[in-house]
Amino acid sequence: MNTDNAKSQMRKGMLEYCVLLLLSRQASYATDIIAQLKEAELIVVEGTLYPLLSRLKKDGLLSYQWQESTQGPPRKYYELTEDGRTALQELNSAWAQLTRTVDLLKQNQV
Amino acid sequence: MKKNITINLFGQLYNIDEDAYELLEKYQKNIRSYFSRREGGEEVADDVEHRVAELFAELKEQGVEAITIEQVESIINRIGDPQEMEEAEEGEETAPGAMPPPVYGEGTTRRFFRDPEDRMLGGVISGATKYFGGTDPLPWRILFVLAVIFTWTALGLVYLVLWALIPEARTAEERLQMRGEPVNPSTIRDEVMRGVKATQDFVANPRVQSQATGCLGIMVKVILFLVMGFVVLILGSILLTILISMITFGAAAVAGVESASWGGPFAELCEFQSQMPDVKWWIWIGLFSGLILVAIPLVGIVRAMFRKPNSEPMSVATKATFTIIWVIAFGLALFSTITGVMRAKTFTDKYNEKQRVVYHQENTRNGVFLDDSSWRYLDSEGWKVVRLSGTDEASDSFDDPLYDSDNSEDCPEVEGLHLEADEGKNLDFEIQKSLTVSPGVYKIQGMRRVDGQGITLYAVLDSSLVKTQEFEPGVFMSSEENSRILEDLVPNANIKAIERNLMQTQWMPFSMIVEVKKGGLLSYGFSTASSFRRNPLTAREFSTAYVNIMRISGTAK
Repeated sequence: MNTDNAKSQMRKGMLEYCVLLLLSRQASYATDIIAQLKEAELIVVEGTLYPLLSRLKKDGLLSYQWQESTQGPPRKYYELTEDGRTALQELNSAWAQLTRTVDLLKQNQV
Repeated sequence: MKKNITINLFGQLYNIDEDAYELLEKYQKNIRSYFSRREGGEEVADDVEHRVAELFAELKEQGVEAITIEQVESIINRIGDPQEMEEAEEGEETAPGAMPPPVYGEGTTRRFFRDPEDRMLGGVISGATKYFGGTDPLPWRILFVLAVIFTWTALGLVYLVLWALIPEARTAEERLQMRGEPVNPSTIRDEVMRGVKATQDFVANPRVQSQATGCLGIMVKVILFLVMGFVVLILGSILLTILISMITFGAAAVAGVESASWGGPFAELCEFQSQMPDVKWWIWIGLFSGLILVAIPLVGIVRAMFRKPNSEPMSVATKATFTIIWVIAFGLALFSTITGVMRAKTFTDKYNEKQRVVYHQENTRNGVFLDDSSWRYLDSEGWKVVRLSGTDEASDSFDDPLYDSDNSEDCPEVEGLHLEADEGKNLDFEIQKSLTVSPGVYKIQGMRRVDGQGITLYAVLDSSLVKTQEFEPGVFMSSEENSRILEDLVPNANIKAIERNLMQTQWMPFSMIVEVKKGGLLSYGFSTASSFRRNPLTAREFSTAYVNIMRISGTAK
């Protein structure tokens, strides 16, 4: 059975949560978020991030600032907003609940 | 060796190969249009552009001097195409009508291009062949040429229009689209390589020509060229004719007021213009559109001839605009010409009618109308009209075959009297000539034409009737006597020819001998009066000419 689709669905579901987590630790450039997500194999292509970031900003969970750079073009510097932190906390509890459920199911697995 | 260009990304300059740039531009365009329909979509496209710039900066830092197409490909693979980017957003309500994949928007759509690498004249047939999926255009070329010949020049016009409007496939991507091959980084690279190789081959062997060799190919080329030349010639001369006639007609109409004194056609033109002032507008419209009609193709030809190679061709929009303007101008010119002609015709008809009425009025005396040649004859010969009725309507002397306007040597113009009864009325006339005579024998002779009975030639001496001759309709028979009469009547003429003509008409010579015993006033003439005739009056037409009287002997027997 081809589990690729299911795996990809799982990853997609986690993406938003992970971005908020990353930014809660520290504000960072899109580049860095991309690098970390890629390392975690949560995104296949870098471009995936941009529509997501755009939506999160539109919903008010993130904000950014332009920062000049010595080499290359100016870059966006993202950070979590208050609403973002609130959303993160909700997601944290949702996550906790999910893992509890999954662990329970796994325990009952033979 | 590749062409390299310099681009500016957010204030930083990068050197990039031309093909790599095209690929990149296509990619960015695709991203931008894909996300353009959603809120914040512009920003996503900007983010992507920024990312590309970052990666370029990295490359530069690593010492890369010129960014290659492979590098652009890998960047694109890293960032992903819109579909891949969408994965995170799947399940969410995206903007309605968001474009479906594949990459770079077009995928494997086929577009109609002209093929500049494989062409006889303009590469139209070649491009069309590829558009419809074929590979060898030659059989289609032959068919097309034959079709052009058979439909005269209609298809040739189509070819010219296509040649003007359809763009050539210049870039690698366009060439791929022309053939309907998928467009993605690898095929573009292959295509670019193929183009490079073709150029190398060409440089090495200048004579290599793809499919135009061979007897048939050359023949097709010649025929096509001739036909195109023919079409251009015909079109050109039509346009030129339109232009010239527009100019002369326009100038004449404009100068019409002053040229009234020139008379002739200009006089008619002036009246035309004065009576139909709005025609002037049509003339100007026709003139103007005629100018456009000639100017636009000329501009196109001149531009094509003197264009530097590799300079940008006109965009399709410009071409389409010009074509539309041309078509409108053509329509206007056609319309104004037709309108002008129709108005001219109505006017001419009215004018002729007016002339007719004037003519009729001028030639009516005492309520009797005869055509002017008849009046002239009567006046010049001294005829007196005793009575005349039943011919009020304008009789058309052109009905008489002998009055044919063909003034050839054989058929001298006949001036004479011509009477025609109106519809529903009967001819009733008497015309007379008088002269004092001394005793002797006289001969009255001439030519006459009747279509029935009842008309009499009479001679009256001092109020007593001396002789009559009733005319019967008949056909001229050549005879000694008739020939002699003709010689008398029409000296120095080609008698044989006249006889030939006469035999086709109802004209006949007449001759009447009158003996005058006692001198006095001799009156002779023609009449329908019942006292002169025995037969009933059935004639409805009477013509006479060359009537004269001769004295042939001094003593009466």
